[in-house]
Amino acid sequence: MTDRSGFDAFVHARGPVLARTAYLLTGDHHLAEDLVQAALVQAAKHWERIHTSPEAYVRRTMYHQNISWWRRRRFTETSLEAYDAPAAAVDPTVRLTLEQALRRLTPRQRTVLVLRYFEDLTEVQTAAELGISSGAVKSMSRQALQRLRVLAPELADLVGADA
Amino acid sequence: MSTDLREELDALARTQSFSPDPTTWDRGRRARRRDRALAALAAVVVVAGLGGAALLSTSDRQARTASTDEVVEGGAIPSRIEDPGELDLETDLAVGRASVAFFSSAAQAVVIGATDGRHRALDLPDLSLDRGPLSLSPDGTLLAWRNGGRIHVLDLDDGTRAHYPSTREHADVSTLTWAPDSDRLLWNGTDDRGGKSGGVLTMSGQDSSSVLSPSALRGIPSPTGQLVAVASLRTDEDAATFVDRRGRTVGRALPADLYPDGAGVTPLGWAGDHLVVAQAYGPPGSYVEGQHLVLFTSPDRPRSEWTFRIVTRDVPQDAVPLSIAVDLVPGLDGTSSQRLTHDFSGPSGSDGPGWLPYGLGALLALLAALAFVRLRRHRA
Repeated sequence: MTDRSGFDAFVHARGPVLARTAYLLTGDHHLAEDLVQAALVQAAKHWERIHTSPEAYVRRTMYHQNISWWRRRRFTETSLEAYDAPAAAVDPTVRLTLEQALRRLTPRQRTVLVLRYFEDLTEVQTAAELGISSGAVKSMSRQALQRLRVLAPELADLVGADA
Repeated sequence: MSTDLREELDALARTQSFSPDPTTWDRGRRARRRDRALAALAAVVVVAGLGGAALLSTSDRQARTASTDEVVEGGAIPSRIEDPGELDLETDLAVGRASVAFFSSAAQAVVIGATDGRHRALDLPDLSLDRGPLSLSPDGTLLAWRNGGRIHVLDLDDGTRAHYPSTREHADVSTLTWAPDSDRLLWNGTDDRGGKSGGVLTMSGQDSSSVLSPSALRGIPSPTGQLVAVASLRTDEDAATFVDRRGRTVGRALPADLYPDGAGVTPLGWAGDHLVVAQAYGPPGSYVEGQHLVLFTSPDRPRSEWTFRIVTRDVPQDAVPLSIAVDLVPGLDGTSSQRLTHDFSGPSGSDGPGWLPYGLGALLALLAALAFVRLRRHRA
């Protein structure tokens, strides 16, 4: 299998899964597409080195890239929304409320939440992926859940009262 | 809680579609090639920067004096005349017009390129052990030396050499000086009986239109033929010495404020009908101590017209005397700010190393920084 065909096979097989994770990380469909594409470009660039386990590389690239993008956007975009005010649910379904609440988390909090509760990684694994300590993962995870409860009280059952 | 949250997150994530971009692979490979090119460029810049820094800091004068690519149309006297130490000998003697010639501390015959300021050690044949005089013509194209009574003249433009074998008249030669026309080589020495002798060798083989006075052999005759500049016998003279056509000694007072205890003056040539280029030695306590080059008006002009200029203070203290292509000294424009030399290590008019090394260093640093930033941005 050539490098190109191997890369194409990987993208075809794992692209949709990676895109879902990207959406949870960014909270935006367009940004998610960009995030996956940027990570895949990096994978193509370093394919000779990572072709034995490309998914781990692409995921790690997405985690860090998303935080990096957020840092850049933070200095160029100003939100007019009240950050800590409970968000009124436009749509009464839980999914939409969760989606809105996730967008109000910081990228690090959201990333920790995605890794812990969507990717099912342990605190140690999450810490290793993000290059931070386990204590920081634990702390950020707790803060993220607390924030979700503040932002969307109706999610209390979903995120747990004492999580 | 975790299970519920995971299910909700999974359901949320499934709203994201994925359509692969067929150009992804090509973009990645292009980025890879670009990064490699940038890395190579950065490496070249770093190496060049390190090389430049090493060059600037090196004590190897050969590297420093041989590195300039600057070319001065028509040529100029360098503002710094450095002893380069030992250089690789040039066997191709067609090195072009020179501005300065001297024997270095390594006993090598060194010429400095008139247009590029480069030091070159020439592999001259038949050099005497005592080295003796090395005389550069006023126009910088001919170089003369001797071994015993044999006189050699090298054309620096084409590398051809004229050999004047020892004769009964010049069984031994002690001095070689050029007339201002760069055509007549004046020699002093002894004949085969040990008596003092002297004469003139004409390079073109044609008679010169100007006739040299009998006293011409005592020093360097002026273009007008009215005076001959003569070397001082001591280093505490209060005047430079000249001889007129009748053989009378004429003194030209040296500036007492520059040389309160007098100085020694060895004429090197005439930069004009009434302007002498000389190597002066200022004893301790002088305004300029040690060997340096000066330019001053000859005593056949009224005192009101006299001027005395220091051409350069940076000359080898041990290589005396220098031989200078005096035609490269510009005519005076009457201002004290006029530059008489050229700084080949920097821009014209600069006394120090100039901005060039610092500018190049800054440019290299900027290029390296840009390459680094671009590399980081492409990786981000």
